[in-house]
Amino acid sequence: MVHDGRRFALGTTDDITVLGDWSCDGVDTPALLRPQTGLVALYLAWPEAGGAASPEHTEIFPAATNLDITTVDGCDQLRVIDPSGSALIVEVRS
Amino acid sequence: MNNAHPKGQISETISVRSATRLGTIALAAGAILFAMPLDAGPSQLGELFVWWEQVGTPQATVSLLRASALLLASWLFFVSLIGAAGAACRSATTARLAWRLTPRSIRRLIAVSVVLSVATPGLANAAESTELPAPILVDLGPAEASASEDADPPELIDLGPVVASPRPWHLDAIQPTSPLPEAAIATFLQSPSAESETWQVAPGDHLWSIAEEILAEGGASPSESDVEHYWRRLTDANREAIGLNPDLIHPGILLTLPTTT
Repeated sequence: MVHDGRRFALGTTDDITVLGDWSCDGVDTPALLRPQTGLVALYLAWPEAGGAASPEHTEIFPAATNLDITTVDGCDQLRVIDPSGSALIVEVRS
Repeated sequence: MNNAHPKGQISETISVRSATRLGTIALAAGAILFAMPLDAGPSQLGELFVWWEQVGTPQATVSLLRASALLLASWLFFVSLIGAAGAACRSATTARLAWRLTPRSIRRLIAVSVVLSVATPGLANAAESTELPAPILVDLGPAEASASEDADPPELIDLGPVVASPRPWHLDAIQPTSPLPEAAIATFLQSPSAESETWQVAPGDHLWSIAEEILAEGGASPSESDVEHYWRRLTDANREAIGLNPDLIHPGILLTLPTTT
């Protein structure tokens, strides 16, 4: 993926990633779903040049199949979708 | 007077009959004692109302019925056991005392209690099943701990600045190796896709850089919002080819390029 003129690698080809402004700071950062394990990882900042960043927030949603974004009051919220189409909102605790 | 029996024979007959009946009652009461497990109830009398609310009225009623039946059965068991022992020892006084302590009304009450306490669990369960299932809040531990089951949380890695890659392949660069039939050519030209260009993804390509390069073909350097707009159109136009993750495209995929106007 690309941000601010730099390229970043995240996860594997089976992972699902989306970009959103999770912390309402005006910067879109990635979130990842690994469907095999249900792991949802959320990143609030991009790594420094040549560096790597670990997720600030991780959670397991065993039945998760996809990610979605909804915008509330100018901030993005990550929604985890299950096979029935129901969505759970992942809250970011600062 | 021919039916008259000596007094000792009558006492012996009563003792044997009493011992048999009391022994049977003692055995039945003992069997009930062992067969009926007592439900867990409140540990203190003061907790009765709390326990009642926790388990619900149907289950609490059943539990109290069972406890009452067990209490009566215990009492009947010990009294009958003593009476049976007295009757076996030909102690008419002990046997009569046992019979007086266990009159027919008490035995019937015990029978009714036992029948009710055995039958009511089914009724209680039936009553409970008509209630809507209440949501249960289950503590599964801290989210961070469960997330650690994925031994290797993915890291976000910087790969360096974006380098524009040359467009490796275009539809207009293709020359048919053999002439197409006229009908096929007509169909091809009428198809909307005939007017759109395609892009075969090369190693290192990503949708953003492709969008930038396509827009830059016009001469002016595109703004970030223009690139983002085109990136979304590019993504929408190639949903099936891209899959769920537009940030991960594989070399060899053929992308349809939307018009830049």
